[in-house]
Amino acid sequence: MSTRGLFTPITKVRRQVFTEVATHAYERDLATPDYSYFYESSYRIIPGEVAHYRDSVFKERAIIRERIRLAMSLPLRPADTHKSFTEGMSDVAVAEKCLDTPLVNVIPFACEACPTDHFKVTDNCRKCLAHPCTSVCPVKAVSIGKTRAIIDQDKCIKCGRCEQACPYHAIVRTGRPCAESCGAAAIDSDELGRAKINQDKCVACGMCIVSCPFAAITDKSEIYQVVTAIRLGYKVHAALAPAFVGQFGPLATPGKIIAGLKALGFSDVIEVGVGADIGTVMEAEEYLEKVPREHDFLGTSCCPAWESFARQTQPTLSACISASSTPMKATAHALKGQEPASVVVFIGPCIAKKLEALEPEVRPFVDFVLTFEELMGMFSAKNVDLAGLEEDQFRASASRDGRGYAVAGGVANAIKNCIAELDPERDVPIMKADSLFECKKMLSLAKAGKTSGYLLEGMACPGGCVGGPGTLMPIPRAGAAVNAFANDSQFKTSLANEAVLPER
Amino acid sequence: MGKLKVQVCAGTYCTMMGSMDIVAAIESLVDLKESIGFTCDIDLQVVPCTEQLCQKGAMAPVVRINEEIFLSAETETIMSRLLELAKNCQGESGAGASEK
Repeated sequence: MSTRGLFTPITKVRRQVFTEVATHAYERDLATPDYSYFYESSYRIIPGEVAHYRDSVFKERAIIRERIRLAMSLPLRPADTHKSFTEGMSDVAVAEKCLDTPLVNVIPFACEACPTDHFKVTDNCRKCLAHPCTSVCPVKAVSIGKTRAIIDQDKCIKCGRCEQACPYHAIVRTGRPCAESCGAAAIDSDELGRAKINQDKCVACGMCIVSCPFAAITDKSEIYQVVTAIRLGYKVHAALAPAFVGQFGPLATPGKIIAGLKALGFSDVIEVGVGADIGTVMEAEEYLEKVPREHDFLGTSCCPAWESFARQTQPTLSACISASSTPMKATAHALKGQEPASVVVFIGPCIAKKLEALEPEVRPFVDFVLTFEELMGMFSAKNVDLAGLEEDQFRASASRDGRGYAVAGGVANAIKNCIAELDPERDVPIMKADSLFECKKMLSLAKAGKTSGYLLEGMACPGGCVGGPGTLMPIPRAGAAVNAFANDSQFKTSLANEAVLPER
Repeated sequence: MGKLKVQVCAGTYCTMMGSMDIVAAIESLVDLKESIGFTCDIDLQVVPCTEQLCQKGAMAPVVRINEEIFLSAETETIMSRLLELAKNCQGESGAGASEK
């Protein structure tokens, strides 16, 4: 279990920070740079003189200030040298991309340096006569102490046999929630035993962010630059990822969310599901053309965390991962083709998309990436009550299958349906994985040649995009809302969508 | 059998501050119905923001149980209050009348 998907004090603080940053972005005087507002932010979020969550109210506010910096796309400050909290703020108060790596950051002094993965004897131990824990240990790491069994951590090889043998469930495996959530094994330790992200391995899936029970990990945000672009009069388009449905509560229908985005100052709102339809047709054609002649199998490409993970961990299989555009890129590419001067903001459940948008082949098309949670901070800052708005609509609609991309299994389903239309004779075996742990297993099978002719759907988030780190709704609720909206589409399959035609 | 009317605000501020998680928590009580002796019917409503009781988010989320208003509501407070009330409404309907 983890804190992911539950509303906790951490969720609250994170959203308060987004609201503070968006409020200042909307209300500040564009001519005079003044960031003193953000000093007050930390007092609004952490009021009074008594600590709320940690040992000291001063430390709590210091952490809020680092979170504010990251939410403005600024880097963390070093803890051992002086650097003003507001330093660099005027440089990021612009309508251009300021976000740079590292995207996912551990705020070192917020990290509690949890012990790393180990087996532990709890006070359930009754120091029993049988003590099977000692007899099953292959390395003599378990002994019986004065009051309970003791595990010698230097000897322990973490085989887990003692845990299984104990009749009282007294032995547990425990470790760092961040490391346990990281399917890419990218969490190391710094010299003080605190979590440190190995940026070479991190694919920015964001699972550690929503799994850390001490709120020590967070990513950077582009709220400030997006609002600045809107206020400076740019034509800013919002491209809404398929997982958006139901994210802002049951009364905020898709039509009201579109209206809400326009109330925030976005010029137009585009359904990324249309880009998913385009991607579906590209990947179906790619499959028919190349599998099995050129490639042993075809892996989907829409989830950037899965894609980077596959390429990094199994470089020899790289060619088998689809080269077609992600729905985000396909959508942004079409938009920039129509209006080169416009600013495109992708809004989704995903943090890895922020990294994808930094790639040289994506950057010219996608200007900024926001999460639904960050967008909610903007609605809150502008006091936009979605439920009370008039319904608006997308210019072009996605198909049922394109909208289904947001839920695990939906991508493979869309491509399979498309292949069935293009070549009814072809049978497409499918394998799916949602979570990087599952993806890792799937890649091992692929490496071993056990997925010949398969279509592999990889997603980094358990449950698919509706389970992403930038979401607001409980996952089952969100999945049901997405499915209802998908079934509502006038087009069943991606190929049936007339909006796809001009792109082919 | 008694009935409890529960209204959870789904305005922007309340949704942002987790009101739908409170809805999920209330719905989850149904699974525990037998183990907690919960015989009340819950009339759960998701309502739009009308009175702005949350003061622009400062007191969000807002939940109303019958006529009782909860500001800065949390799942644990709401669930335990519902259980308290559920016991009383058992008494009214006669099911729990023999106890005390």
